[in-house]
Amino acid sequence: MKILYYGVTAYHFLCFVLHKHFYRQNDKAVLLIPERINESRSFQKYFSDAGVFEQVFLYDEPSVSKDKSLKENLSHIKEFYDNDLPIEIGFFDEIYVAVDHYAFGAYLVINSLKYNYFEDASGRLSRHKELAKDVCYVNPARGAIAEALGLYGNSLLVDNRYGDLALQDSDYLNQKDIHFSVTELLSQLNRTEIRKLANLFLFRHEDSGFESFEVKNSTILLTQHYINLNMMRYEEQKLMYQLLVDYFAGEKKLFIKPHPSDIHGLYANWFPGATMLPRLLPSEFLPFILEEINTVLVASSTSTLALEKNVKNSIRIGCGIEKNYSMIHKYYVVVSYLLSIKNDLRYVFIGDASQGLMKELIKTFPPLSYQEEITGKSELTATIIGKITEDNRNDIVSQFLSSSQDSFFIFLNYDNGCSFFEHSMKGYLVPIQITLSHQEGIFNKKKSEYIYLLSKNSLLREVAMKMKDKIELTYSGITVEINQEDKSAIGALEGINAAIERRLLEVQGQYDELYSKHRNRD
Amino acid sequence: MINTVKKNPAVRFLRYANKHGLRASLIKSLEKFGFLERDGRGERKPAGKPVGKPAGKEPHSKLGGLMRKLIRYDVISFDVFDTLIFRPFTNPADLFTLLSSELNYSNFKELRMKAEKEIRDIKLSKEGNREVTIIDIYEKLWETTGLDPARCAKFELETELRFCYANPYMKAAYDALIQEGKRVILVSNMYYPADMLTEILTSCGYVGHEKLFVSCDYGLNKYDGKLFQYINSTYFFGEDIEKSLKIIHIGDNKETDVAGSELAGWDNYYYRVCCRPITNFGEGGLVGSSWNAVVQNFLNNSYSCNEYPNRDTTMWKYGFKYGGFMVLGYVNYIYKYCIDQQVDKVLFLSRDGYFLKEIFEQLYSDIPADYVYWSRSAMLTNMPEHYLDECFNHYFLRRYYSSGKRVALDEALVWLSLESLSELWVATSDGEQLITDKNIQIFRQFFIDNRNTFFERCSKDDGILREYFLSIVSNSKHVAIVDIGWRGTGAISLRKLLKEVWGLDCRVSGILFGNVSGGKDFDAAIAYQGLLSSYAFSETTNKEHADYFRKNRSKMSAVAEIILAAAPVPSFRGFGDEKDGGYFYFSIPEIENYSKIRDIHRGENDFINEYIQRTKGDPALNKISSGDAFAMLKRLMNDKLLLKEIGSFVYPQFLEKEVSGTGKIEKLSDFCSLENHLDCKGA
Repeated sequence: MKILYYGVTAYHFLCFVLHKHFYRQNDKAVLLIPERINESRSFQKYFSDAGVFEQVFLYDEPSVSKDKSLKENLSHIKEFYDNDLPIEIGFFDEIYVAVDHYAFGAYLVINSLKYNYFEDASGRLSRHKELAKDVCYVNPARGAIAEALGLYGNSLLVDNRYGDLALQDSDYLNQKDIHFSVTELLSQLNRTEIRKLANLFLFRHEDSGFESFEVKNSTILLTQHYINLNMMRYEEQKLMYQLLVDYFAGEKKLFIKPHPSDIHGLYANWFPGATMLPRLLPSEFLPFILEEINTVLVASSTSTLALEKNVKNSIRIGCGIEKNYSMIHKYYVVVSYLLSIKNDLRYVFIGDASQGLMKELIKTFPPLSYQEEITGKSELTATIIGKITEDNRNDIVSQFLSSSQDSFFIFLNYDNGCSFFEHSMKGYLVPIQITLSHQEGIFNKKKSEYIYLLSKNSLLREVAMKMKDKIELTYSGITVEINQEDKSAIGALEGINAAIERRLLEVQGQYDELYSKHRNRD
Repeated sequence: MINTVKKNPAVRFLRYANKHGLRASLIKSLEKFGFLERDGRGERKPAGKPVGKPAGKEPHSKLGGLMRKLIRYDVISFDVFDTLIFRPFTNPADLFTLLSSELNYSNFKELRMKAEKEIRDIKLSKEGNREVTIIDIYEKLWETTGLDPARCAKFELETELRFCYANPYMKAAYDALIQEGKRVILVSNMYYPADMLTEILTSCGYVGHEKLFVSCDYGLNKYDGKLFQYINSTYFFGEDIEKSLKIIHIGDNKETDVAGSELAGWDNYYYRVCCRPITNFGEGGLVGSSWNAVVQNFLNNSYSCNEYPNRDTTMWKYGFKYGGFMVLGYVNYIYKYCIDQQVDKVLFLSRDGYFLKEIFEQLYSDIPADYVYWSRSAMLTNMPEHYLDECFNHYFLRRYYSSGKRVALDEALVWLSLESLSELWVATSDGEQLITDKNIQIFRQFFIDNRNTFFERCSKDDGILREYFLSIVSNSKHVAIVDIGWRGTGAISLRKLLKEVWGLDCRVSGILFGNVSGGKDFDAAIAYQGLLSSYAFSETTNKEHADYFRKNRSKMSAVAEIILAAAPVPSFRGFGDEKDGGYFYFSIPEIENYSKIRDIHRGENDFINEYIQRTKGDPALNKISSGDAFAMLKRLMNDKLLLKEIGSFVYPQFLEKEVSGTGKIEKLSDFCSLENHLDCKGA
């Protein structure tokens, strides 16, 4: 049998190598890689030399443009592949494709060619909507094509879908799925085979020596390539990871494993003293080359899912952290508050408040515990509010007014505009001022942010009014301080002032709208 | 900016249309056919173009794009100066000016440049190339000056080491490539041999590269490709063929870096030079050169703005490019004044001093500073008996002029809080119901005669006021009051209050950015008595600037007040009575302006931070003369984009008419028509 594999990342190639090794050992296989992907030439050379695939082809992939129509883009893809593909597709008995939302996948569907689908990353079969969102963000034209053709493994032309079924969402089911776990397959190889395979991905001769890393009581940070995906700028990605390590890694020794596509991160500069693990090595190898991984930390990737069985502690914050990482100090202050009161709480999250971040921070501070449901007679609820909008304001106010004595609301004031202030709640409100300071060039910059506790319970309010805490974050260089004794009165007044400003701005906006309608009518 | 506008064909066409009376009909046609539309405020804008930043994706990371390109190469070669390394000088030869004082030659720069040219010419005639080392240059200079070559070379190198800094964009790319294990080489046309240039590179953090090739070490230049070809034939000998080595060279010079590397068969990446020359700035010289270099290197390097959030707004850029320079100059002037005059406390008046105080405290924490609530309004509210004429002018006369010199009696009386005297006026003035030029003097006298009624609206006891100020200035021997300008009323009135009314034994002086006040004699007197000191201009210092300011006051004062003295807080109106709770009164907050003001401040803060770091706080580069500061203000006054942005500022809420975007800026004091009725209590 002749098999064609198509993929773009090291994870895809690892899937293909294992699939070939375990299920198609005696068949001839060809690997097709777009030349424009990073290290394509190295992959071609080392895979060819190792004899894993009979041939490895590089080719120029057609680009799609958002300035062209869907029809024009599809025509371009068809014409390009009809003329320039270095292989004869009809020659293959089976085609395996990861990332069918790339041009090659579209080409197969346009020509009604059947194929098998590998999941884009661990656990992504059930999370194709997240993938679609990322694709549309990075390349809207490609996203439009994928949606029009029903790609991401959902096309009717897909025979089988391969992925780690144990890592999918709990309620997920698709009849075409076949369980394919990279971790399980790797565990069936002996150490020598694993080492040889790992060396391939490091572009070394398969019999090269292999470093060992002492990872006891350590944290491994797995990065994602937000810069590459145009989701973050350098300084934003840098600050986000520094904050995550500061808050979650603690004093543990730090290892950093960059995403294979994350060629931009300067992690050695951003984290002096940290040990860098090879970027190109798929993270699925880690449990087999490192012993006793204590903690794995990741922003929002699914890559920890495959490792969770092999690590003591897995920290995954969740989607949206790349937008809200600067709020992490506020969540820390909430946790600091929770440490002062009882922790038998049910948590409710409103207005984009991050459940993932809250949960992970709580886990970092024993004896706090995060519970989805609580047992016992009373239902004590902590409602965490990220943003107040005109849509949710009235609901929040009525919820608070009808809440029990011991429940409390914490408004995180995401937009720092204090738009929550409602006159009817004045007596229940305690602003908590957070002072953030850091050295920037010659200036020692200080900034104040506010969160607000609302509770009918005066004791809970009193705890907030007496809060005092200070932490100095190592990598980001930020000092976070709460000292309610000195500043609460001024903070309240500043907050009220800001609230008035915000309300006036809303009124001004309404006035502008009326004025504009009036003028247009004239 | 101005050059861009001049060359823009659309702008030139509109100017032509305007000149020939076609503008109005042209604009109507554009609106009719859908090329122009009106926004929420009725302002015209190109149709379909969103106002402000377009929604959607954030700016693409240029560094990300560069890395994706470079990672495919086996060897990455970098040019050094203006690519990897910046200097805070527009012209590299400006560095030589700094050597002048140490070497005791006022024309050292010219001598140094001349010696370099001469030795290069000699080298060309003898050896066929112009490559020389720094020692060669100074040995040539020694012939006419006797200056020891080794000492001079060492001194020049030390100065380079002091001022050279890494281009953050290229540094990030360089570090990432080294971290990836890529082969990195450096190729430079320079007179520093490799060991000296390595010292400079190391001081800027560039370590880990495989090899540095300098033209003076090989007698070969990049210009004709010979240096690159030499590297091919010797350093990469054999590798090119065996490994299909892919090499890319990155540099800022099209002739030497781009064309030269192409001749050797290398790929290349043109990195446009960040620091572009300017003409006619201020008094010229080193400070202007440094300002230009620091600003342009920062704005154009593709990292310092691109890779940080919130550094892409128009007002941030104005704050960075222009405002920070003036603020730094003024703050340095304030500090020098304080040291010279032994000031032990600096008071920054609201609102003008809001941002100045922040910068002053960061830079000069050795002199205590406070932000104090005081203003012309507060002066009139709390000291009306001393400034009755001012009260009449402020509450009545300027509104009278705005109303075309015809005001209904009822309105006039309301403005002056004399509504209860309506019948008295009627009896006095033969029933006049309109105030015009015919009876304004009579009206004024009426106001003066009935001033006690007016005083009732003002604050009656100064308990809060006294307590407030005494807590700030007690134990001070010399207090300096900082304001922007222009008459110095704030400082003078406060001085009157502290010394005359309360009898404090404390020297009180004022510092202004600019002063155009009551006339030459008054200014001369207060200047000589040390009561007011002005940075950029006054009747007795830089008078030509003061004259220019007076001629262009409406535009210039608005620009200066926004760039230097704006604050995201409401204007202070005055102190209340203790029986009312002792409130501080504020006017309506002009919240529409606040985000732009904060952007300006952030830009100014970033500039000052960057400028001081890059110039190492060197006195020769940080003494920003009044001439340079004024030149900056003049530049801003002619910047149409800034004027348009400022045109959208509102002063304060409930304006009868908005400031138009036509380039005509109306004075801040022409607004506030409903101010009397809009007190906002705060604390």
